[in-house]
Amino acid sequence: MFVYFLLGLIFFCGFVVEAVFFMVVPWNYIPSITLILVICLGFMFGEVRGALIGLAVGFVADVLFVSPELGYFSLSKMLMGIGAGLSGKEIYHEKTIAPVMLVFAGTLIHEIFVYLLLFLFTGENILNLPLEFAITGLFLPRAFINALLAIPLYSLVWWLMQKRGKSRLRVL
Amino acid sequence: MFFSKKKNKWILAAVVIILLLVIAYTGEKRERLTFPEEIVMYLVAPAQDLFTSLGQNIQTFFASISQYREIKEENERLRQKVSRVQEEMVDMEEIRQENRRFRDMLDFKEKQEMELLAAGVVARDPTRWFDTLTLNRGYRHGVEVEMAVITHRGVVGMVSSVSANSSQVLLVTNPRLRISAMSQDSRDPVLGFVEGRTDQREHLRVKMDHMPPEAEIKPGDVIVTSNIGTIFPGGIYVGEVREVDVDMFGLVKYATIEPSVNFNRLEEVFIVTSPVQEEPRQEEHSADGEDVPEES
Repeated sequence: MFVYFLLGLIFFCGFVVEAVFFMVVPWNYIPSITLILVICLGFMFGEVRGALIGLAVGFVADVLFVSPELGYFSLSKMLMGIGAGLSGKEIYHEKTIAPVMLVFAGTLIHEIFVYLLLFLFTGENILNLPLEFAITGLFLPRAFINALLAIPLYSLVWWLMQKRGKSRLRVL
Repeated sequence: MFFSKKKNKWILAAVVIILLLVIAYTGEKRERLTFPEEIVMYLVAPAQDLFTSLGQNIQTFFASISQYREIKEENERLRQKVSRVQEEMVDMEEIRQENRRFRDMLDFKEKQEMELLAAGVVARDPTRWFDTLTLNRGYRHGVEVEMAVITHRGVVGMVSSVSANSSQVLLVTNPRLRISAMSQDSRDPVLGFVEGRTDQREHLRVKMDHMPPEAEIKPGDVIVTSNIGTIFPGGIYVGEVREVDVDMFGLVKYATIEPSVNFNRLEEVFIVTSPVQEEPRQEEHSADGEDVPEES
């Protein structure tokens, strides 16, 4: 129970960081701790739990940050959870490098997906940037920062799960 | 594994479609939210507030840290500025008081027919043994021994010694100086001699004695210098009667007088340089028996 409390606390802190980081730092490369956690947990627990965690975290993000418009983050994070869960079947969980690379790729895909989703449903380019500039100027740096943050975060989550004995290792 | 089953793929597809519908519906521009949306908004508003205020607080905190050096320097600058302003205020207050004193003295001087020389007090005998003042005017400025020293508030004393650029003043509180004075308030002025008191308790008060027992004098009466002396011009304020008593034999009446001048805070005085019109003169002596050119 304590482990889940800690996980909840980490998620809460993640939301706080995402909510306040843009107010504090002068640059646009804001890390997404909740996305890192969704990918890491999906990677550990598989596609179903990954999808549920992604859906729940995405819904909270929708409610907190973009309501009354809902669904953008719910859908994107759920798909990231599923993707991470499916990737986790094929890779050793003990090695940190795999989830770090997964976070890098996942962040990039997530950002492009949200960009396209927003463009599709609002008909506007919210970022006011062409996709290629958004990728090079925003998404890649953000993916890089997330990947860096994934190293301590994945290690922390892995340690917590080991502590709890709930980790589902699928060593092939 | 889960999504490899056909049924589960349908579940996933259904969830995705529902979410897309939610996006499409909630993304539309509408005049009003639906009732469930309003409830959701109502419920999440405190959380949004919490996150916003938390963000602002953290922003303020980090801004304070980043501006720490600047704030510290500004604080130092402001401290110095406050210190300067305080010094200026003290100076201004000093100037204001000085200005008021000079104005009073100027008014006083303009009203007088006698010639007055302004002088500054440069030293005060701190022991109170001699009750003297040192002024920054001497014989080079025309000061002579036995000239009266006054202020706009009243009698101060008499010049007792003179050097080139300074002079010493015997204060009226000194028992060695006796001044001829009279009460101003009574219809029949009471004459007497004012001199310093020897007892320490009444050190800053003076005594007026040699008054007949029937003299009409009472506490509150104003005492001024009389016209019958050669040192002090007549009508200069000496002080106010505090107590009246008769000596042990019942022959002489005396009064304790509160001088009008605060001798501890004297800064500027006037020396009366013009000769005082000679009038019938009484013998005036210092307490030790020497001839003291005394006013009477």
